[in-house]
Amino acid sequence: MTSPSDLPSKDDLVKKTQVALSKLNLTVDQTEESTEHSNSLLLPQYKDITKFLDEATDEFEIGQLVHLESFGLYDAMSSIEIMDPKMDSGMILDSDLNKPPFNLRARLKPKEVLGIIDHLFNCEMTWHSGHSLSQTIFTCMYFHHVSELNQELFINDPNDDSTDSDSPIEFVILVLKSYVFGTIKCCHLVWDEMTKGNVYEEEDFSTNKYGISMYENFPDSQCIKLIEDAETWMEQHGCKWIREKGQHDCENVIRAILSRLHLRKSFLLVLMHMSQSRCQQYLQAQRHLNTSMQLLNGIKEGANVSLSLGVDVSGAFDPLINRKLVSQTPPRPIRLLTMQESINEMMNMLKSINATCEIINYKSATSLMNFLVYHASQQPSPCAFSRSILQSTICTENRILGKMSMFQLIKDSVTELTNPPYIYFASKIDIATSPKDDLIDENKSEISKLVHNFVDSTVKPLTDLYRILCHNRSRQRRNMCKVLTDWDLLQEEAEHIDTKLQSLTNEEPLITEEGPSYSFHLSSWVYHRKLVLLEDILFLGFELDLYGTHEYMMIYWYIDYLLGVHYQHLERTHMHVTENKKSKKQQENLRLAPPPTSTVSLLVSQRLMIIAKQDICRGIHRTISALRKTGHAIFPRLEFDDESTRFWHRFRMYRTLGSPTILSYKDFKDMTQFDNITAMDLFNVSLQNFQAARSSIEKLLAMKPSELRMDFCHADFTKELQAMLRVCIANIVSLHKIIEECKENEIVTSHKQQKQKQRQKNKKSLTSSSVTPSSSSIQTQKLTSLRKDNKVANFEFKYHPWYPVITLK
Amino acid sequence: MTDTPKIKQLRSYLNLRTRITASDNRVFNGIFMCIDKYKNIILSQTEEFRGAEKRFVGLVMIPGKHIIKAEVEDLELSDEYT
Amino acid sequence: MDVVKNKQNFSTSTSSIIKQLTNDNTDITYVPYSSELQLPGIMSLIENDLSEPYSIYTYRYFINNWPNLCFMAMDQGTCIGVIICKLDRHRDALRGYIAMLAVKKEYRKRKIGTTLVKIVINAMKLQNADEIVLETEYTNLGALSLYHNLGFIRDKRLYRYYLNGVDAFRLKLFCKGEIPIVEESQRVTGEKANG
Repeated sequence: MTSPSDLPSKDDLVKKTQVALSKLNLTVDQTEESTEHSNSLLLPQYKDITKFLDEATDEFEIGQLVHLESFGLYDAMSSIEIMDPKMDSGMILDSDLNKPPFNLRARLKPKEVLGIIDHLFNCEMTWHSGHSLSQTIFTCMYFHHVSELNQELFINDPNDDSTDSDSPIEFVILVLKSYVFGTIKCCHLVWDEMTKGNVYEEEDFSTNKYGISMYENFPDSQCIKLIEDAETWMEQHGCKWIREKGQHDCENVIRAILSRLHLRKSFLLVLMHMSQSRCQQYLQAQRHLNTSMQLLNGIKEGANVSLSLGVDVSGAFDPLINRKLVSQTPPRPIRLLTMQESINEMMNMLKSINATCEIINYKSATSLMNFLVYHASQQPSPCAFSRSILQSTICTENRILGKMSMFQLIKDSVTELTNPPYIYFASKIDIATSPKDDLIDENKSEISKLVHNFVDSTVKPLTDLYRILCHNRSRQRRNMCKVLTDWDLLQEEAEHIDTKLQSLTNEEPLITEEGPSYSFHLSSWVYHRKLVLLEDILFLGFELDLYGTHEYMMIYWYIDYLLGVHYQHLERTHMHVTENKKSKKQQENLRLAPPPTSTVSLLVSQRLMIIAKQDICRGIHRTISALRKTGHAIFPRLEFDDESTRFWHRFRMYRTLGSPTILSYKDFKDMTQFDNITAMDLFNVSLQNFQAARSSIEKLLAMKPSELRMDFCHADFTKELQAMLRVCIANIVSLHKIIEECKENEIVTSHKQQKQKQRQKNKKSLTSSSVTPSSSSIQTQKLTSLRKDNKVANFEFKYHPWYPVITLK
Repeated sequence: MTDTPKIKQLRSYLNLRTRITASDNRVFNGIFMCIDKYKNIILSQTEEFRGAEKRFVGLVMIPGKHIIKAEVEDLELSDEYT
Repeated sequence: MDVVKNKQNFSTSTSSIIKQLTNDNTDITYVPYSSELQLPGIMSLIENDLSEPYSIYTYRYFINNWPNLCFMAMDQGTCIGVIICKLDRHRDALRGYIAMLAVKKEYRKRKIGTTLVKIVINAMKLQNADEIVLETEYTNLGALSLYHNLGFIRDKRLYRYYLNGVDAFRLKLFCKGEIPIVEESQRVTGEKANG
């Protein structure tokens, strides 16, 4: 049994609840009324203008308004219309009049307690999914009266005519009370996290408490104790009583109640550990996360019996509380999650938090970034709470994972990709202990200053990037567009710094066909990150369903170009990393890092991934080109649409960037016209693209997580590769089928010889992108003939949200 | 267009504390901001009373058809107390 | 803001657009908004259609400020379709915004909505709009295809945009072609070492 000393003083809590309740106006407050009367002499006197209003407004012209000068229609728009059920939260509806009364003193049966527990859980998870507290948790009457659930409540009840066969009050004052308190404490810890401003208020999550207390002063540890007392009572008395009642499903009821108490306790412990500063207790949190997931799985597996055991208690939840609390905005339509949905919501959240706990075992900057990228792309997308926790974990007060400095992270990130000379990021102590070198000594402080300037400028763009990856998918794309210019400016600045560092370190350029080439360690890293952004902005457009099918060719063509630039850039970086052959002496002095095998394998894998993506995109836009020739992909002219205008606007955010060079609509037309190439040839080239992508992906699948720097997300990475593989295979199969169908077409065969002759020539022009005009009469002829089958191109993103499978249907 | 005397008088009530009783007997007490031909009245900083139950509702529009009583602060009378 | 009744200044070019667009639809006529007497008809039409609640003052905000961007489709004396818009500055652009569009159920599938949108597109173009935008629920396939067929693109996705928690698309139509950017020629377009 609970001893009174374990709990905060009853008076204390009652007082607090009363404050909350008076705000809620759950009961008529007599004192307030009397004050009003006594003050009435000081209040303004009113005169009745009801009749006058009729007369005055009768004299209004049609459409006339009388209003304060300072008050315009724009202000008027935001007024709440009284007596409109869609806007007026204070209206009494029929359902209000039939509202069942709530009886706090009801001796609830175990199944009724279970019913309240499950409903409250649904409320909690619905809150997590983005709805307001006032429409979820706060609708629970026991939430507002939880501190009153004590023995006295029942002992002093004059109306209590209970008999021995009634349920023991402990089901209410221990089991229900501890569960409700546990839920409140969980919500409060979540609330603390969500008010850090990591996610979008109202869009992702709603933190408005409407002045209702979450029992902030009731310590978490006491709440744990309370739940433990309830568990003990259940095991010693409660279970026995339920069994004695002898109902057929008594064991299920016992299991259901106990598992919910256990889960509540372990979830609360998870949140308590997660909330400690600097990620210090993530290890402990993970222990309870595992327990929580096991318990939740247990509830899920026994779902068919346990979820239907609970019994509704009339009046225990009052949705009208929302209308009392939220007076200045129209009520939102709401549907509470079902038990099954709530369980899934919680499971996803627990998994996501667990993954976040893993990353504090920092492996590399790249693997941290990769984790974020894959976490951000998960479907269903991670909930707002786990996204906020992740953000807090990654970066709080400029501290990464609770322990690292931004300097260290940027150092790692740059080093992992471009492997700059050791001296760049060396600390003062490192330099002091390094071998003497006059030149370097002279310049080391200057080098260090320049690199620190670079780091200072990088902190914001990089943290922004981390934060963006923790937002909802729609925001990710929008915010990526916003930070593009920051990265562009950073690149420009980094180029200046690189140039200065070149001379300070006496860098000897590599001699290439195009002349001397310098390494540009810092700006190369920036450019790489910027190109990823440019590509992802376009790719995310597919995932968010922003493009019409008539736009696919243009978009994939542009991504193809960006990936090409990116590939060349990494090729160049690769060259500098591997062929950095300086004179022996100089190498020693600069203390180049040992043979950077990790950098090389990272560059190899990055390039493979880029070339795989490029081949897929190329295969897609070429297939569409071919299908336009065959007449299978004809996009009707849209009245006010102008392709060149659309082209200009779709890529407008790239227009102001220093690099890469923006391509024009003319470039697009010139390079995708393929006038002198047959559809059949285009199909065959596309086929080769998909086959090439397939072999690149297979190579990637054979690489180790550490080589790929996918330490925290290798499973997701593999899953993506497999999805890409399926896209390739499905398109290869589809293309074979399309080619077969084309071959069967007589006109195509009649032109076969002519085309065969052209084929070699055409292939060349495809790769060089040079285009020569050819007769359009053949085109039209072919177009009409091939369309005999009445099929049209069909795009299905069934394996990967970024790449479709193209078929004829 | 020039105001009729009544409209002019109505205009003088703008910015005054106004008390509107709605068809469901709720009373809204706020500052008179705007009115149209259909007596759709906008009050700002409004408090809503249902019996003794009171809550702040801010900027509201009470449709003319739902107004059963309208009262405006009587400046002459009120002045005696200020 | 007081009275909207002076319709004489309604440009002749807009009325010619209406004529042009509505030649073949003999039973339905398209008229510009002219008096607040039309407001109750417009409101009852929209209230049946849209999920978001609006008060009479919301309609007035749009209609009183941009009366020449509100058009109605009439069958005899009854308003069976309406479009309500605004046009103002948004950053560097003059942006048209389609706030509400509704067509009575029995009159759908007759391109009445499309005609109303075409009328405002032309009216906004006459007023030199750079772009026209609107939001619609991402699940509203009817609206999406109507605007798509006119050349609107889906510019953005807005997460949980509506009161009911549903995502929206921001649709956009570009009224003007390429806007030359001065800085472009001034910037170093080469990629320096990173080409």
